[in-house]
Amino acid sequence: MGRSLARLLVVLGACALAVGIAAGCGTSGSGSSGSVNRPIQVTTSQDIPHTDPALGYDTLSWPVEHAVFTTLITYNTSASAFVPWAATSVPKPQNGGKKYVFTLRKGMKFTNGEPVDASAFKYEIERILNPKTKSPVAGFYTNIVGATDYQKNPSGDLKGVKVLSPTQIEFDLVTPDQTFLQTMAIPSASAVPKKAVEKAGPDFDTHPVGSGPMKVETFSHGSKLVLVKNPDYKNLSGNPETTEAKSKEIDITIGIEPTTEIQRVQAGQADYELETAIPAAQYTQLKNNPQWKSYIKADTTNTIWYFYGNMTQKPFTNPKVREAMKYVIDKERISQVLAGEVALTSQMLPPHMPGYDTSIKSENYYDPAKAKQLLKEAGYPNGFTIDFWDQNSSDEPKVDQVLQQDFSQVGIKMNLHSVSFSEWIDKQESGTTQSGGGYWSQDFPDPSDFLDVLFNSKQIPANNQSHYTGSDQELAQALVEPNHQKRMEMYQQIQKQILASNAVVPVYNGKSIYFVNPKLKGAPIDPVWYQTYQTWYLTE
Amino acid sequence: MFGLTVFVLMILVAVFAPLIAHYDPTLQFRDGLRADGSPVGPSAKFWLGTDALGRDLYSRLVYGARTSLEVAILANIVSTLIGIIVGSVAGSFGGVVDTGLMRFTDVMMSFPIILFAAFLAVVFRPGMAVLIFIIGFVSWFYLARIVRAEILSVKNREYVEAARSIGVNPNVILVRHLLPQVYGQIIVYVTLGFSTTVLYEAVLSFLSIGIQPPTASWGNLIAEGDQYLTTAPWIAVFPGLAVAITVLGLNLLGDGLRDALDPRR
Repeated sequence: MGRSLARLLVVLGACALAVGIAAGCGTSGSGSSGSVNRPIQVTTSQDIPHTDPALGYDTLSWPVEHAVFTTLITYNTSASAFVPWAATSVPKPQNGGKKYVFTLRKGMKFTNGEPVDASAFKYEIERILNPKTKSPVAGFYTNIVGATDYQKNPSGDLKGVKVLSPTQIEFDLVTPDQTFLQTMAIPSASAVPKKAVEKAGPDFDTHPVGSGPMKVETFSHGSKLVLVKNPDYKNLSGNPETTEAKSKEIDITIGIEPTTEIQRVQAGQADYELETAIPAAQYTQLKNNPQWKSYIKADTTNTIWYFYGNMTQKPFTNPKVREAMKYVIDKERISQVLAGEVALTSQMLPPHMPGYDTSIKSENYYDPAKAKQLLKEAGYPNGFTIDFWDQNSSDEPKVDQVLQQDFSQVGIKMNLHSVSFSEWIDKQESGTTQSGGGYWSQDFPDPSDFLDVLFNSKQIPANNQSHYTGSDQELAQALVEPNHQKRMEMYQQIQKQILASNAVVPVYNGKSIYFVNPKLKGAPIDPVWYQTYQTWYLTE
Repeated sequence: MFGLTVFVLMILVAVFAPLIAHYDPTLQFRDGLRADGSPVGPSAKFWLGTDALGRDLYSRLVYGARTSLEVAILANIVSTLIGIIVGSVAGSFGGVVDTGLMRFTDVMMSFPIILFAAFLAVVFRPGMAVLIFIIGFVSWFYLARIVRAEILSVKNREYVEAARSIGVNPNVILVRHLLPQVYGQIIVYVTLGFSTTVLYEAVLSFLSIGIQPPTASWGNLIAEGDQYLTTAPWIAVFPGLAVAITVLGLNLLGDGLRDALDPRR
């Protein structure tokens, strides 16, 4: 007995020691040097997928590309309008909306000395359409005349992009498209140096050569990406959005666990915790702590999380069942388990999206009694069983379990399939899921990027998981309407149609919540880019 | 004695879970979370506090015992069967079969077990049945060796020779004469194996490749509590203590049994 007791005490003692050490590690730490010229330290848990504008299509790659490359036009700070960048002005559409001509500024160069001219912009579009590149954004440029031919035969000429002179480039479209300029402002349409690209081959993605305010000094996947100021870049337009880099260097350290990132910022070893949101577990505590409150940087993003039922599968073929879903879901409980790090909504367009309908107030329709009533009227007095699919990343499983309980309260048994992100994408895109959690993040700030992508019958099954088909004609008309005001109104009408059909239940817009050193200035949460590395700087 | 107490207690808790638990372990309480969404600490209503979704931690701990025990027992059965079969075949057949099986066992033993189990769990979608087989497949090595060693040591005894010479079927010899020598050892290692399987279940569920929520298991309770270590420590601490005490107790029990049953002492 004595021997066992001794053993027990040793084990417990060891445990206590381990816990003590672990707790101690969090709070200690040498502060970083106070110089305002030191490199800005960013930490993130996920690897940055790409720096090549033909390949990047995510929220981590785009801000890097936006700092390293130049596009013809870009967004103003509120993403409500375009401002010229490499072009001298934002062109007006000609020929019934099918022709755009850009005039380029003179004297722009890539960091390897190649000129930034019309052919450099044409070359990028060609790369994207070339099937060898396997670009995820090719779909944005298939409306250019000759694009589909070029995709079949990339050794030919891309007829719809004409290099009229080194400083003049013309784009001809098959059909008029009000989102064309959007596709010119995203990093995919950056100028790229042909010689450097051909020489580097696939290495271009880790050793990019651009003409933007910053350049990539080193990039080691899964480990670190270092951005430094590009001394050759000049802000020719004079607009604040196209500024020269305000800092000398930004170091992005990859693969740090979010809880550790928070601790590093608190210890002064890092300046910016780059995650979608602060882990809910710590958020509440930090929010109420006077020492750390000022470190929290938050804003609603143009993202949406929604519940969908497949309208072509029972029971969702029944409009009363779909209506009942609205009353089953307790949105406030969902917000509560996510520590309030989301903004509840009752529409599909997010608040910073042009066309957002301020007349549709966010409401929690939660009413289990009403839901049961509707289900009874629909012919399901005893409820039913449904299969629900969602990704198992971060806090999704929590939301799904809240939904599961909400459903069981009205007699619906939910078989929860909580799977990896890639499996979830595959399953959803197969169009066979009965119901699930839908999530969308904007490509660019235009309402078509939400309503057209998620509710056009052409997008079944890839992005239109609810299989809604009721607004195809209206969506086609809105895509080409030249009058901006009228166009926004058309999208609002379409949204009302979609909401009336109860094809989906919009639940929340995500928030980006970062934990940031208050001495880091010039770092707004940009509605398009989230991080505009080129505008960041440290103060005393 | 401590070990036996722990073992019996765990069995009782697991078997009588519905009677001992306070509430339904999957029920999310409205007042189980504070207004800002943070879990509630130990209180009159929630004896060990609540978890991130406002569920009663005590009830989840009790049902978690049931889950963990179920996995441990079934996984142990799997690993014991494999161990006995591999060990007996190797020991009684000898020669190439023996060498082949033992080298295979050596290779498996040199694998980092947790990584291998994690790899299996990624290939096959996680769930109770898969978890049981995975843990079973990584836990049989020592038993196989022990069984083989025992069989080798008794297989050339006179009474076994005698049985063989009168033509008794080798399989019958194996089961009726050789294996009974090993039962003592098997019981010891099964008991010790228990503690290992409880630990494996905790580790794999902690890595999100074991028991999936909302089913409670000690491992996934600790996983959930990991993020809340500084803000709601009870979520990880209580299941952690449960695992630690159970594993320690089972180890002590196993040691005690080994001392008691070892014919050499």
